[in-house]
Amino acid sequence: MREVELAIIGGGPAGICAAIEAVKCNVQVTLIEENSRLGGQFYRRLADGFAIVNQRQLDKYYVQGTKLIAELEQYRRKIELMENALVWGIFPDKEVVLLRDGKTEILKAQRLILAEGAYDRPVPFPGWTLPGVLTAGAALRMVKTEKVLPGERILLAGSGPLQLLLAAHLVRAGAKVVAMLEASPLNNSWKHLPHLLGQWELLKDGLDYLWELRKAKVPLLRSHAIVEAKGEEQVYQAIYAKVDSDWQIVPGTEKNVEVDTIITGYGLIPSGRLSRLCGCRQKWDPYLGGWIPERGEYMETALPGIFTAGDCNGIEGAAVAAEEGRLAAIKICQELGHITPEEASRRCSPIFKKLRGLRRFESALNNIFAIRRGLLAQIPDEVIICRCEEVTAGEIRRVIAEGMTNINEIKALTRTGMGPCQGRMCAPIIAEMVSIKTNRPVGEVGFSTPRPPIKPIPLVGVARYKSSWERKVE
Amino acid sequence: MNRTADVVVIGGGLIGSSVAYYLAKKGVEVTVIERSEGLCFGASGANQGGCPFQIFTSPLLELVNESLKLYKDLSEEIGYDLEYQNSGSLICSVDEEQYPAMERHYQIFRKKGLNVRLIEGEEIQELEPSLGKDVVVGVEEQYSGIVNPFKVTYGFARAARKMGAEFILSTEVKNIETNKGKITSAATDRGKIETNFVVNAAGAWSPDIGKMLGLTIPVRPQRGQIIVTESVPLNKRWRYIFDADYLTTAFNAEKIAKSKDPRIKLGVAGSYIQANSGNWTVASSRDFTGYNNKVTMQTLSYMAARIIKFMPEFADVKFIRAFAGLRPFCYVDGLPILSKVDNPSGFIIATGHAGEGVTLAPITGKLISELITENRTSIPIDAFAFSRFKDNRDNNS
Repeated sequence: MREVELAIIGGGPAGICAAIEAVKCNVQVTLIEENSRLGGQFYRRLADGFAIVNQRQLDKYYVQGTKLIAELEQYRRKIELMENALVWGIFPDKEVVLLRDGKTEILKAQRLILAEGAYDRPVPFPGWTLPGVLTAGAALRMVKTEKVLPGERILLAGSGPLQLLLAAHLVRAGAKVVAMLEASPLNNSWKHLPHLLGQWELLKDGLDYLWELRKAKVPLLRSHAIVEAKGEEQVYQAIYAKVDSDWQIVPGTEKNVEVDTIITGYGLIPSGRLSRLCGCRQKWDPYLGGWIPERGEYMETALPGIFTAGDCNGIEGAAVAAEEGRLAAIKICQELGHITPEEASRRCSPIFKKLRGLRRFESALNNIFAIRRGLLAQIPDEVIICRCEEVTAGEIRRVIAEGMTNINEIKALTRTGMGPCQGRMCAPIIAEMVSIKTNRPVGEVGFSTPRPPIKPIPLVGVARYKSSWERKVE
Repeated sequence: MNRTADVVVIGGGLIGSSVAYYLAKKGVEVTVIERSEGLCFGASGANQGGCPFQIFTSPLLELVNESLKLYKDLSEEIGYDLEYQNSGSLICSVDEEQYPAMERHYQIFRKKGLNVRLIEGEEIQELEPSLGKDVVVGVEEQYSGIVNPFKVTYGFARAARKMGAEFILSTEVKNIETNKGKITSAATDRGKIETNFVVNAAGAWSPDIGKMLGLTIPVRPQRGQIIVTESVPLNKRWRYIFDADYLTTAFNAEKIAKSKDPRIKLGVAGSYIQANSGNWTVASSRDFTGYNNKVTMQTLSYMAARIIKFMPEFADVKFIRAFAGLRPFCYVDGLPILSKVDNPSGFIIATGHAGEGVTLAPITGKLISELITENRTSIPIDAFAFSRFKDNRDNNS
């Protein structure tokens, strides 16, 4: 175990900006990234060993990411960058437990920024576990890192701006996108228009993507959702239908289309495994994606010295994430005595201003595309909800009907969430199912107790622990 | 919530649910009070589901034997699958020096006429290829079992409810009222229940309940940490394996005190169980850190290193979850407390099961129900009497 001044977990926009801001103030920074390269999901780099000959093929966000990482590189000698390092637990007293080179190490951090990011929201439907059905995040990763297309005839189904971005990427890469289904009606979007104005760049991006899809003749179907994926070894057909304003399927409107790939993108869920493991109090905010840590205006949690930044604080995109990272870092610089309170507030005030504008835009988007419950209420009993343990909706509903309405009780009796993903995928769906059945808000249903490791690691990685205490090596 | 009950049981874990079941079966009107939002939230939900046999000596062995007999037909009796299986077990050693001790261990059970077998050298790997060459000697028996502890608790509760028992969740007992040496009611944060009997099945928290009556219940929380692995192919012969050191860490306080090995000090010795799902639970550890139920890196590391020594292939097996439970450990002699008390009458203690709560849940429920309804028990339980402790009453009461 060794001590570090500031440990930042997650090398996406929030983590990178926090590191830059902190290192500028001479804070000793350790930036920990699970992947081999910085960037996170949004600024995801090409895979190792890949290079691009024609730079024009890279989209503007890739270039933006390159610039940001280059800025950090300027301070390369002053910060400790740990890549390929998986933080699998945080133990009391801000002890960060990570696996690197097959061994577990512990860093004791004076200050901690958790920039865990977000992950794809799963929405189960018959056939969703078939090969050929994947999430938007997974598809984007394929397109971005390895320039591989997930399929040839693709149906996109979901809601929100991420779908739009993905569709544009796919079209550019030469895929045939047979349609893009948007579950939201979009007919009240004009109400939110005033909030969208002012963020011209973000607005323009959206319109550019729409224009690209139009040029490629990709039909955009509003108030439509995927109903079923058909196939045996591989999906070959998608059934979709019209949905009402609560996303309930309108009977009799089903249509089918031949596809080899279905990509679902119902937005993102904030990743809160580390903040929950630390014991940061959480609150439920459906517009920000679900459970998020409670935090103050400088991203400080109620636990001394622990900050959270970026999409793990609620889904608000890369631009907000970057500013949150900066705020947390500046506050930490001040707390550690590297800058005066006056200097900190001078640096923070333009950030606050920028955030206000960005947040207006993001919250308008989140309002337009907020997930409705109709689809979840209609999941047929035979559909698998917990993929790790293969537990169906029917089994879960039976336990709920018997009066077990606590997420941990349901886990104990059905094994949902006992698999390698620890309920990351199924717990949000089960919470909704309980809420629908009991008429209690999802926020009261709770989340499953997090346990280390947050991702599976080989036992030898734990056994080979370089420790400071006297230990006879066996 | 003003109401009455023949018996109030404090604690909705394995023990409380079992007591409720066996009482309800005798027609007793029973109410269980549980502080958490669900059953099984304490040590009952943080264990391996193991019901071992060959690690015990008298007087626990007799109790265990009776409990295992009850488990055999329990699923059928209560109409709920507890996932019980008669797994048997192997206790084995990676230390040549433990050879004589294993031989003695074998002889003890053989002399009782039990079906045990001493296995040495290469035969161990032949019978169970997942065990490594370091494993030099082992003793196999046929009596141990494995259950799903959640299913046991919920199964008992479900059956008890069907017979009229009531389970009140998210409710805490605040006081136990008496009149002239007799219990009159249990007062909770949501009202009072008039009753003449209170069963203290609050596990690691049972001393707090004792205090309400001026009684010192010599129990403290013993932390036990557990690692769960990913699912792997089922073992060929043994899915319940003990490290011979377990006999020390679980039962030999003196030897632990004398040991200089930090692993033994932390009570780390293998108890490995593979569930039907293929997942292994890797235990055990025993330490005392108050009500702290967090896992620690040091213990996890020792446990991982230890199982790799026994089963080398585990090096690459993934660990998917770790948790800790707080078991009620009797710091005077390590034995359970299954007992009435002199004063007040009507107060019954069912705690101190340490790491054997799952094993002993059925027999505990049965004996406590007999104690209440018949004032005698089908097997002697004097060894578990509260009167065995000299200073069992608060000085200032």
